[in-house]
Amino acid sequence: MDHRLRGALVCLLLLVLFLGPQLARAAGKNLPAKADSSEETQDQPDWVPIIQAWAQRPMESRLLLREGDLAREEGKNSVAEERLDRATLADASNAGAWFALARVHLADSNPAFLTDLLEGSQASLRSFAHQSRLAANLLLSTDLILAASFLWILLILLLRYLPFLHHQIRGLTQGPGHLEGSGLLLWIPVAAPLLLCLGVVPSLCAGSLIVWLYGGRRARVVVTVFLLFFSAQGFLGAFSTPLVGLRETSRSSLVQRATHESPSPALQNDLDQALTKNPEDADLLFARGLVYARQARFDESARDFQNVLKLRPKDPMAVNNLANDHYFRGDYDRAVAGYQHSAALDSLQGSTHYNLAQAYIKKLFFKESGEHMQLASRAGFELGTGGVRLPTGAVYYQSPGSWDSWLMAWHEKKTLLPLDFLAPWRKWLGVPPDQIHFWLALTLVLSLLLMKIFPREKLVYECANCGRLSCARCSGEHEGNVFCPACHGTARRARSEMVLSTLLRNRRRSTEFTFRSRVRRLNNWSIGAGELYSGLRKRGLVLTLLSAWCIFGMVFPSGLLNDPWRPVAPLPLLAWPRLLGAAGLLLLYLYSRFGRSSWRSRSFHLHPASMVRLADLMDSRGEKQMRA
Amino acid sequence: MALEGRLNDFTLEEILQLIALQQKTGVLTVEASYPMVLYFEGGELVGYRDRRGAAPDPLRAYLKSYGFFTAENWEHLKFIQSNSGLDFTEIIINEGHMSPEELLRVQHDVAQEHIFKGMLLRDGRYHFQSGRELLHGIRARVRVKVEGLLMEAARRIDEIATLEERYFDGDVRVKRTDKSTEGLPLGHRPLNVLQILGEEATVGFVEARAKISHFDVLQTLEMLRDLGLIRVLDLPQAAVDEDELIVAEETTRRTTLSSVVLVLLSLAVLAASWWLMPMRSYAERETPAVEREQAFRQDEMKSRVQHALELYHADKSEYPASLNALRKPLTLDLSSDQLARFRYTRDGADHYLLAFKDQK
Repeated sequence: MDHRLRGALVCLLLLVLFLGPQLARAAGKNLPAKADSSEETQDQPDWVPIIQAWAQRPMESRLLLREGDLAREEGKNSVAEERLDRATLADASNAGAWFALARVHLADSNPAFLTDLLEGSQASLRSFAHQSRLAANLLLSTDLILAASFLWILLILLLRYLPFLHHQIRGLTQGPGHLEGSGLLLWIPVAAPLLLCLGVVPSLCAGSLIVWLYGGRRARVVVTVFLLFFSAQGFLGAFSTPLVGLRETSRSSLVQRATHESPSPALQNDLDQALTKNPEDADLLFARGLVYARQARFDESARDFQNVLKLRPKDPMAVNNLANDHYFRGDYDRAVAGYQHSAALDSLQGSTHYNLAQAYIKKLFFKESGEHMQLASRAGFELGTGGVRLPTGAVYYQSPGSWDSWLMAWHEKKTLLPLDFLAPWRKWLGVPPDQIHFWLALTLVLSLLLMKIFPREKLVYECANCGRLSCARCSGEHEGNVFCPACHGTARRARSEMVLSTLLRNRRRSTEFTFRSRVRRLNNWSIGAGELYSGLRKRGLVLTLLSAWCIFGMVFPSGLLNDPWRPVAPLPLLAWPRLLGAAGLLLLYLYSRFGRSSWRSRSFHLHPASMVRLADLMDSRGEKQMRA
Repeated sequence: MALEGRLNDFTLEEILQLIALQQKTGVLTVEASYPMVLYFEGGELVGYRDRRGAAPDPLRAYLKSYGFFTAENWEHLKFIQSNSGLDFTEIIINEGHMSPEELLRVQHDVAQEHIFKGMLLRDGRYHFQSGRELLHGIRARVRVKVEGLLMEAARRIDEIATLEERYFDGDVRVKRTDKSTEGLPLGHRPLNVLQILGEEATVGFVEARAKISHFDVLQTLEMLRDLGLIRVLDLPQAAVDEDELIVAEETTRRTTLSSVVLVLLSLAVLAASWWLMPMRSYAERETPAVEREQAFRQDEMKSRVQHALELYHADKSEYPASLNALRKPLTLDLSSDQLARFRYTRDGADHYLLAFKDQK
């Protein structure tokens, strides 16, 4: 064959090989619809079932978690591990699955349990629902512990003022002289109306008022701190915010649920109801748009995001999500425009750049796609981080983070207060729960006003000799010192200095011994009560709070509010939180009872007033003498 | 060296003479109906009060018997001694009840009285232990020669029998005669007794106020009788004064009554408080807080049911026919009563309606 002909055939062959597909593709545009659809299906997947399946992954994860839990209870650890592993893969934000997997790994002595715990903790901390639940439980537990401690401390403080009140009551009924033991019975008619007729809160206010007016500086500070803490709960949003997040139908919760829960009819219904009440709420519209998108109802979703943009035109997340709807409907030009707009509004959002890169690929702009993929990588975007990984080619919706949810909860302002949880016991409170903070604040203000108007009347005195408390009427003065009736009688009887000093010293010693033994008995009966009674010592406060915490651990080991996905059954009697609380209480008791005597008695310098030297007749009680 | 034995073998005066003669230093203890502890130093009596406080204090008994202090003073001294731990002599000097010189004189009288009473003992055990270290801790030392004490005691023993024949009891009444004391050589002691006696009094009454010993009182009364200044009357009738008993009983009765009244009053107030409870209606009224709390509890319950329904749907690909189907497989922690509060309708496989029955 002529070499020219051979050359022409080769060129023709090459032309056919290279241009054939192009020609065929160009010719294919005029193919029938069916062929077009099949070609499109290969290139453009049907996103509806993919998205719907993707939206069900959290539910699938919870189902697997349940199956894993059941298998673990039956002792099938390998099955449980497989199920729980799949649960964590299905939804990496399912903290319960991570913790359950950690338990299985721990039972198998697999060191991977540490990683599981870490992942579970991260998932818990990332989730607004978990955060708000944890914060709410912490807040309510603290409230309960502090309220119990406050009542107890106030009772101890009031006991210090018992001599005065006792004297007053006794004087009204039986004339002077309140040293008779039967006078103590008078406390029943005094305390009963307060507690039964008025209730706990008015009694608390009355007690606080008495302490404030007649107490010392330390007692005032303690009472003020408690009053401020509890009264602030009705005024400050910081206390109500975690509880707002706890409500499934609150705005912040709905937005979070729209992101992390399966788009169920219940969620849809809750959102519709919320939007019926607040049709112009951009956050709720955004949440419903997300739910529609996760149901693959892109038209309704786009409508909601458009409405959001009418209310908040510069919301980069709404712009991105609207562009996602265009993308999944195949409108890549509008999707690219949307992504570009979103990136202009927030250039640091990695997922926007990733979505833009995907859209550019669809448009065969590979260079631009690569550039935005690099930008996404620089912005820290990783596929599947903190969520479920979508199939290749999909784009990611954006939703508010937990911080945004906290802000939303903050702005909702007091739809639920910590004190509202006292409503079931309102019969015993004496005042409606939503007025408690007013009462407490009023008590504080009233105390301040009364203190300004009336000079402080010291009604209970510590004896200069023995430190025993006595009321103003009973105490006597001797050479410029205030004595209790017994010491005063002693001092009055003595006619010589030597006898006076000897009598007072002996009496002080015997009183101190009696008082110390009483305080120790009180401490054995209730940890820290002795130190509180002996002058509200720091050690007593700390011990009281710790013992209240231990008792709380024993009584309420499972917390107050549970996750609806994982309802926790009441713990058995020998559950570890109860045992931990009991052990803590035992340790505190042992420390209080059998600790080194120098530790225990260090805070029992009960009568600082007795350091007063009585006309240089008495030797002062120095530290060394006290230890001796 | 120790010396011990029985008093019926070797009498107290013989022992004392021996100690004085030998100038012994030590302690003589007599265990008898009238216990004694005597401290000697170089044969002289230096103490008669038990330093350990085991035996009754002779000084205290002497002062109390012969009316040195009033009842109020005694109460004061008792209180101070019980609360201070000071020695009795220190207290009476420091508290100004007696001067040191007066105390010294009284102590001499007490020693004399003590020895006199000891010499009247006819049975008992004695124990003498010598040693200077035994004298440590003696309070309110005296220094009396034993010989003088013995001689005076012997005289008293001789005369007391005669005196007690007339003044045989404290209830013997003595009456002042009309005779004047002017011109008579009376010392301080007889005049004091006459002053105490007044118009008429018993011997015991005089004795309890005269601040001199029993023997001295009787001797003084006898001297006054010899001078015709007094005369002894018949015995008086015993009179029972029950006033104090009545007062004590009245006080006890009043205290018991007040306690009973207090208890009854307390119970009445308690019952009234429980019945009235004026604040309760105010506290129990429906308030926004109660509504909020109830709404939260309802939401929480509804949320649990909804989540259980979703889990059921994910498992079975359909919603259950009734809510009771949720309980066992999903361990829904709601009771059947709580579930009965819901109105549940399944709408096809993928939809349902859930609401509280009391909600419209």
